[in-house]
Amino acid sequence: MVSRRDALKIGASFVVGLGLGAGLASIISGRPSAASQSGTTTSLSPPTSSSATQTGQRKEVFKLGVVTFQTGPASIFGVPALNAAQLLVDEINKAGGILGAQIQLVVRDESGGPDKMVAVYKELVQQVGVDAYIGLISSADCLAVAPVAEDIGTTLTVFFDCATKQLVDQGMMKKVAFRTGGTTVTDGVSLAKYVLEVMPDVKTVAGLNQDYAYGHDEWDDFKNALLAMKPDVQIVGELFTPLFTSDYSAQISKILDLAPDLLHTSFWGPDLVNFIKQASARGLFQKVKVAFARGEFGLSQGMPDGQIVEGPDYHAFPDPRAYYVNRDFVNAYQSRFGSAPSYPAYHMANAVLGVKYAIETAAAVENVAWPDLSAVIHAFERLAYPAPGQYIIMAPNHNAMEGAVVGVSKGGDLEKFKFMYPAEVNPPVGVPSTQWIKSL
Amino acid sequence: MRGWLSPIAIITAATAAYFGGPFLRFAAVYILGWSLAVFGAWLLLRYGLVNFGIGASYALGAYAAGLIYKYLHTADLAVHLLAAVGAAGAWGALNGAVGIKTRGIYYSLLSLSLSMVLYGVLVKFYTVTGGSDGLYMPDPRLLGVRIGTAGLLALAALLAAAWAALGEVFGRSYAGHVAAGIKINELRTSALGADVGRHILISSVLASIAAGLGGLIVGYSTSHVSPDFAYWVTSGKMVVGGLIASFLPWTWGFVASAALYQAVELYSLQFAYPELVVGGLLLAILAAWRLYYRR
Amino acid sequence: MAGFAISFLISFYVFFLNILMTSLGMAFTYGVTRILNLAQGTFFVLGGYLASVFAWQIGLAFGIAAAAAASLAFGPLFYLYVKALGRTELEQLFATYALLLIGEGLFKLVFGNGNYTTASLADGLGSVEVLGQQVPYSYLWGGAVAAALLALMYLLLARTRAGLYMRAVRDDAEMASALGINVREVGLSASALGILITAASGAASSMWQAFTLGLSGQILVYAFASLVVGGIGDLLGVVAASAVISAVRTAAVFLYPQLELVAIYLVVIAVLLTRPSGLFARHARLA
Repeated sequence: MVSRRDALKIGASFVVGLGLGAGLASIISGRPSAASQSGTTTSLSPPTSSSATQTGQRKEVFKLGVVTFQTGPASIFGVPALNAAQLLVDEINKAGGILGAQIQLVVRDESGGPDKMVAVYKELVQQVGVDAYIGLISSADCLAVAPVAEDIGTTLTVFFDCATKQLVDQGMMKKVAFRTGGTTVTDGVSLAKYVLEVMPDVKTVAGLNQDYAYGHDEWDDFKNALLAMKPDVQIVGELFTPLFTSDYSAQISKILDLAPDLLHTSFWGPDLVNFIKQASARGLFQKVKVAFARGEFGLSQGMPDGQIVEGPDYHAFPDPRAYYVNRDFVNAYQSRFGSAPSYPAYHMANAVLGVKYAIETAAAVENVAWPDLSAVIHAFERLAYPAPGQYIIMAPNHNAMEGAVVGVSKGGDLEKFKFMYPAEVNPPVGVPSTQWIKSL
Repeated sequence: MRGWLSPIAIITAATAAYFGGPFLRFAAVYILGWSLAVFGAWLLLRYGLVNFGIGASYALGAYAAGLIYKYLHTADLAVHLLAAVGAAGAWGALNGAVGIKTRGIYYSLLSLSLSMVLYGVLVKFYTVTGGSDGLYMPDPRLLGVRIGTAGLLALAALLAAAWAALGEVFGRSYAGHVAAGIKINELRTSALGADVGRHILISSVLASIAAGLGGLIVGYSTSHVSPDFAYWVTSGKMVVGGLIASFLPWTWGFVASAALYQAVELYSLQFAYPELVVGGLLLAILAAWRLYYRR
Repeated sequence: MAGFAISFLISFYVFFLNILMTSLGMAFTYGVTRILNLAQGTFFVLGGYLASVFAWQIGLAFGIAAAAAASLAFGPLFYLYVKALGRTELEQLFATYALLLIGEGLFKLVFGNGNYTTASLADGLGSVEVLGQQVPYSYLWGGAVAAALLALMYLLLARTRAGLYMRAVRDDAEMASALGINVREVGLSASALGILITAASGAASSMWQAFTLGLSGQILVYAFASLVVGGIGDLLGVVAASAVISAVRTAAVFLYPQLELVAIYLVVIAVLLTRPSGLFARHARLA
């Protein structure tokens, strides 16, 4: 028989176990934090109203979850993106919110890996109860969250920056997932087209990219696009370096040896800075012209003049003097944050405005005070709306047909830039990217 | 009788979590899965071995299942379990054999290097492993039927309970005493007749299998596995979890530690300075431990 | 052929310099105090950040020196922090891990998320042409800094009483204590010195490297690798280990680029398989 002591111990462990479960629940659960980011001003609406979307009933509060890098090397993308989100949310709220609902930002850091991002997604959707989710810079994170979002299927999920073409090619966005930005195909094809315009006689090309999926994808798409449009180009070298290598002297030596007409790179963050500095010091830019995919950040890091840079967005396009959406965005961003908005800010603007217009359009079409999710999805699939960087056209595959700005570096700015139109640099809906690139 | 307390506590907690809504169910599975890796780290810590490569086993458990699903198109739980145990076990044997002569910081770095080689392989061979994008993990099925969240939670709880039971048995067994001996003074333990190498090898295999099963569970719960699982920072977190577990007097401390660490990490992500939150908390734990355990 | 050799040598030299600088401080501190410092990279990055900030005010050379000087404060603090919180090696590991995280958070708080470097200033130093390849002077100055640090450390260890005590504690702390050496004091000064060296190295390498959030861990692994391959012993071990690692990695980049991702780790594994206590350890495990 069980002795009294043992019975007490069983009871104690039962209670402790329960306590653990309950304690866990209270730590993880219900943190309807109104953007607890220090030094920001976001409208603090009391988190009392239920976020359950009931068709026809006006909402008081619209909880918008935003997940992007606040720490780590990729924060140079995430922080401008979050800045843009806060800026736009404040402006939208001042103008009355979305259909009268004040937007409340719920922010999470994108660190911890794809599995953590799935946990954060579930927390935001199932615990905090956000009405929409915007997030993710890292492709791996998008690829992990997309199936989960589709599976849960209750919340509008917008990927704003990740560049993987798999989301489109594998048909991973069918229900609630959308992406309001371009892919590595957009980058590669727009760069290739611009290169052929300014260097029509280019003969030898080499690539220097980071050794992970994004680096390989950017290189492959650029290389294949270039070869499709000018088959006699010779690829003399394909170099890949581990992420956050601090020293490129070996690679720079190799490139100097190979002496290609053009070098392609999709380096970002500290790698981009290190490469620019070290290559400048070794005189690489005098001998080789470099094409930077998503290289806008490099402009402010001492990039020498005359290099080809794909933004993919750039603050001077569309010309703020002619296009008031960009003018207002750039001015507001500059006065609040002290510098011109960078491309992640533009990508975030695409996403925030997309969500807003999709909901407003769905309400107008359905003639209700608040549309349900299927109406919003229906609207989003057919949406075209003005964003600061360009007019965004959403395609039925849930991906935006986004164009890209490519130009030449000069004194820290971009000049002679050209806007590559969406249809020029994105595959038509339903056509796999690789197939389309071959047909260029 | 005492040996049953740990498994009971775990299963009770899991059952309580089941009634806490969809997110808590997910979190319970995730935590229980991660706790198995913490168990692996903790087991090796009992020998005084700080394994910065336990993430490799964690990754192998999930990748075994992911690759089987990708190439053989089967989501059968039994097949996945066997594959995970096999892969992780083999890796544990490799680690144990290779590391048999190294101790201390050398062992740590050797295990780190081995796991980073695996990480490199996972990233490099992207046509097979999906590279840094990772692989999709299917919903597991048993005899053709999806086991669902309830089934997954039950599986995770059972596995954690089983390893807790093993931990209990280990603590009171000859092997447990040899472990303590190796940690205190290896030469003396060896002189007393224990086959140090064999003990470490077997523990490496067991720790690796635990971590592999953990990776499998976490992979199922998030429907994804990526090379991050094998990165040394991931292992480092598990080691920290194992350290916290070693502060706790219960054998199911590895679950409590995992729950604490994951809860804090998730909680920290809402702040602009998440590292300060986690670092601060770890500091607090260490300070509390020092105060409580004045030597 | 000569061109290839020069390219190889230059690349080898730069990477060798990088690894040597990251691991000198680590080897020194770990040797004497046996604290496995997961925050070592943090101090390296701190040196880089500080140098970048100071250099713009007071010039490159003074900036680097100032950064090194500023870090002197952190050394003793670090030692006291770790010893207060951790009695055993594992607890100390825990404490340094917490420090690593807190360090990252503080970097964001103080320096923000930008990229910090003095490379633009270093460009001003110009470069010298060596058989067709441009070698920036900043690399040569970096080498000079490393050589100076090495010389200083050697003189300290070999010619001073304090150094003698440090070597004694490094070899056998218990015995040294029994012989009347104040191990705590020695540990304190070794930590201070180790962190000074690390920060100075970080400051110097800001001339060719950019520092931003998240790099502390990256650097840590290189430092560990060099420490472990070299073994705990004389400075020669660290220098030789850095050379070996750099040679293998440079060879990989030039001949087998696929292996670059794992080159360092393969070296570590290979060395530890044959010599489980490192190449130049003074007290190698025999079994």
